[in-house]
Amino acid sequence: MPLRISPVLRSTLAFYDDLCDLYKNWTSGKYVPASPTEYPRQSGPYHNPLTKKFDRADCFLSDLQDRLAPMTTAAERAAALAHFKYCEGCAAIANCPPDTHQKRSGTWFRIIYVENDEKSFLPPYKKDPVRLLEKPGACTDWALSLYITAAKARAQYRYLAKIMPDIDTRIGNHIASVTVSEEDGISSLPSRRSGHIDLHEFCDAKLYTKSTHVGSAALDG
Amino acid sequence: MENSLCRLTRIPQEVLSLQKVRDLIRYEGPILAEYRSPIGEPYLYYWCGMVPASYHRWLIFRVSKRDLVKFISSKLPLLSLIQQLQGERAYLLEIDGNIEHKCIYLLEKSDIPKEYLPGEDSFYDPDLSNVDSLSDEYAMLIDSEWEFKDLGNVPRKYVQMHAFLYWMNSEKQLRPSRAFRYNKAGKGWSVNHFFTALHKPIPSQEKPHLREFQYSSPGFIRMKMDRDMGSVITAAVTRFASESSNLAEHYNDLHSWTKGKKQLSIPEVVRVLQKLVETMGFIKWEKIKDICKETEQKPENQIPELKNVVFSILAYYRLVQRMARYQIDNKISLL
Repeated sequence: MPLRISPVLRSTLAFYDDLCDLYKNWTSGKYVPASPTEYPRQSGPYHNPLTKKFDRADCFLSDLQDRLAPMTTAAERAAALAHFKYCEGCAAIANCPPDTHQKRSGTWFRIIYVENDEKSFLPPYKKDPVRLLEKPGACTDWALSLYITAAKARAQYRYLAKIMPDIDTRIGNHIASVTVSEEDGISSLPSRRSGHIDLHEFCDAKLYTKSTHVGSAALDG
Repeated sequence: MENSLCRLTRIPQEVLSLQKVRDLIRYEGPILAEYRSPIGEPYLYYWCGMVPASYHRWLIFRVSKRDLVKFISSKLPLLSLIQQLQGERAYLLEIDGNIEHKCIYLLEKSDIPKEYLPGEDSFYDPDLSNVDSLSDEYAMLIDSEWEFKDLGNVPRKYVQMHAFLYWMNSEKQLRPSRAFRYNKAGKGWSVNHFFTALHKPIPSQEKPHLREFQYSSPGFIRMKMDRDMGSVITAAVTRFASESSNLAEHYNDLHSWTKGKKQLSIPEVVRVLQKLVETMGFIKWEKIKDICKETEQKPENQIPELKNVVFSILAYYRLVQRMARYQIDNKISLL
């Protein structure tokens, strides 16, 4: 049976491998500074103006710091996000989920496909194919869109239907109510005007099992 | 459909050189996004849907900056932007989940598949587009021939109008009420100091900020400001233009009183002032009354203080009159 390694663990292991290689090269005298392009200029942070040479020890320490700083942060962030269902995606984006998101509960509404299955409760990044114009995309691409009332969800549907004629196959055309508890994830405050809520799910959340089909999104009200 | 389209063997440089500026409409991913060419021409990426073989189709087309401003101001539907088709051609680009370009088609205006076209009422709604930065954008169009002084006057008067209506139209407590009693070292009441005293205490994030200015008739001024406030300013100018004859009568009465050419009792002045304020609209009379009440507590100052309030309203009148004149002369169109 193949060993399954989570993306978080894989990135952590890669970080230590990289660090071990750097240290081995240094102790064996094979270390080459990471920025050889600095050499011809006879200047820069590694150049010692007194000896007119590049200080390898300085180079090494500087390299070490450069590698440690972001990787430590990434590893710490990944560990902190481990209880989120889509932690690997959130870890790559600064302040994701945003600090303003909190555990909140309520009965909220979502635009779904008529089948109301698991597919209707996938965040954009988990849809096949992913709809992206740039990477890593936005933090909200790892969250589910919910609305504070069914009327707000329908207003969103009607607006998008004007913009996209075949919205039914692209986004969905029905509304489901979802009972969200504090154990399901953290969410944004509802948008003042649109009533939109972003919900970042925890690992164990299964929102589609807690949803109820309300009706067609095309209805008034 | 693919058979009838002109498939290109390579992605044109025109498309490759585009840089993303922002999303305009989002719902669980981008739906409409703005790009710019190296020389600043705006292009739109419009999501046309999925193709079963795991990629998305995007319609790429050029728009004029002014049309884009009109679209974002909800004055032009997306359908018109596509049908006008700047440059007479568009591209249909297929992109997979890794943002790899799979293939691209060149489209003439008549080639754009009808099933991809948005509805006739595809007007932009910033509240439902799920893009925070666009809910605070407002714009005015520039037209006709401008003089040098207009370059300074139009934005200045707009900001002054914003400052006045910010305090007088909202529920906010009128903090700069002393602005209405402004009397610089006994030299009399000053219009500029009055509006500056109103503008200064507004929190920076609620003041209008210039985002983009294009003067080439037709051009535009794009600002960062509360859209509701922008709508109030537009409505105030429009209303002024339609009520100008009634307003002029009240204005003349009050103006003559301030110059001592017409005798009016204080209750009469307050009555005419109320009529003027209510006909202009968008000013809460309660706020004016509160300022007038302050004067009642100081009977010895009553007439000079009331005069300052009247001066303030008359200055605002002339401000809106000037903005309405710009609009009538077709120099600006408030959206």
